[in-house]
Amino acid sequence: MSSSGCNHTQELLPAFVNGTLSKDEERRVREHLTECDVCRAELASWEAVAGATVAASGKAPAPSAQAWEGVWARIQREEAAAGSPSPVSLVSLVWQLLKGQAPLVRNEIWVASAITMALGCVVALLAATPSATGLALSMFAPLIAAVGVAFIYGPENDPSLELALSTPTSPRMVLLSRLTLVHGYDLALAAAASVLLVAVKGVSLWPLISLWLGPMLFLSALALLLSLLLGTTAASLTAMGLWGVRLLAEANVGSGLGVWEGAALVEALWASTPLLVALAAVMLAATLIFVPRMERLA
Amino acid sequence: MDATHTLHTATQRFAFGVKERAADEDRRIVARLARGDGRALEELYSRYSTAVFGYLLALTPDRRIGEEVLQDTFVAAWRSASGYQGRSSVRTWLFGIARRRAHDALRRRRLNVTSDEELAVLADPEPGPEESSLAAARQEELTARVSRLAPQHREALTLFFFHDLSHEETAEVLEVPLGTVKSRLSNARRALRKSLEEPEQGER
Repeated sequence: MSSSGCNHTQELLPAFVNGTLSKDEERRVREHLTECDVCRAELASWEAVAGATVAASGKAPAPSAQAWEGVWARIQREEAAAGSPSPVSLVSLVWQLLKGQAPLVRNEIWVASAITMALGCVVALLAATPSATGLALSMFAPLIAAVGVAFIYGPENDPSLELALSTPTSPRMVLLSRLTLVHGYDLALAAAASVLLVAVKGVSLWPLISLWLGPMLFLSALALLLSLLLGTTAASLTAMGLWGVRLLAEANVGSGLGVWEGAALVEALWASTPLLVALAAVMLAATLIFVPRMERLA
Repeated sequence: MDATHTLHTATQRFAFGVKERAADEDRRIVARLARGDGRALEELYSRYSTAVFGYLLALTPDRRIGEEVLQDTFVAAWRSASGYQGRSSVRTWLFGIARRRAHDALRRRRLNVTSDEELAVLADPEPGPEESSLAAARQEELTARVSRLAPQHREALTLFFFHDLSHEETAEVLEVPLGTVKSRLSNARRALRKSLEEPEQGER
């Protein structure tokens, strides 16, 4: 037997003993062993080492039962200390989610919202008085947002919804991220329009924003809830109808004709009050809670 | 001899199939772990805590430190599961985490892990031709001597012969080149043989 064959075999012997050689190597070692006394002695030596190791390691005790409880306790302690996932990973998670949902929102929403807002801007710019400017903007912004939001969810708006729902992203997260995208876009449009009006017409910014912000949040939250319950068309029509009533009341109060007695009440309800914002929040919460259930009803 | 070999081959083939299925199941568990599934951590723990603990006891005889590092290991697995690429087996991954945690813990306590140079001194300077001494030794005596080997020797032997890791997997856990794994196994064997020449210590 050549000594190089022995060297090679002896190098492979430990792995031969623990059974991690390839089939081919194993066969060659076995062939060599049948005709080499030296390597068989080596094998016996490794087998003794392996046997003693197995016996020694097999005697190792199992960890105590408290060790497992310690693992959980430590994880919970660390997560409590961290408060939440690290800000960096949270930001990237949100970014991934928004980026993934953006292409799934109907394209028309972006264009239609921008055009309608531009129209509102023109009307506001042409208004004769500062209060008419504010009024014009506050008439357009909420309706744009509400109709846009009515289109973000549901099988009629999203052929790939089923696919989106089979991913680890929950229906709730899908809805919330689309809402953030569309409503964020509409908020940005309305804010940009406000800044433009401040620059051109010299009205003050915060009173202007407070004119449209509350109604916008409320009408959008309502439209979203209705779009899930009744569908996009019903939600859009309801939002437009409600808004029409408000326009009527506004015209009634503004003209001072007093034709309609409820007009002042309707106007008061639509003012940007904490109550209106709170109602919007309640409706949004209800929507998010019931999304998964509604999905099954659809 | 032939019949034994056939049986040996069949057993290994069967063991291989079982191992593959277990490895698939392991990967599924870690995927769930990455999604923050607490039950998955419990399953992983029930599969591997004893093995990891046994390995840790090869590194430190202190049970208390061993359990602390065991907890460290599973907390770290929970945190880093999303980074697990599936390149190595879950077992190798866990042993690797355990080893790093153990080294950190031992360093914090200023307990040194023996270096390779010191280990070479512990081993017989010249490989003896008398391999039969190990094969002829009484099993209980040899087992007791293995328990008293230097941590790095015991660690290599345990990973390789008890947990049946391959050379490559052992190298991955120990973070050393393949050649070092082979020489460490040989050194461990030589140290074991050398220890047989010393008088047996009283069994506790």
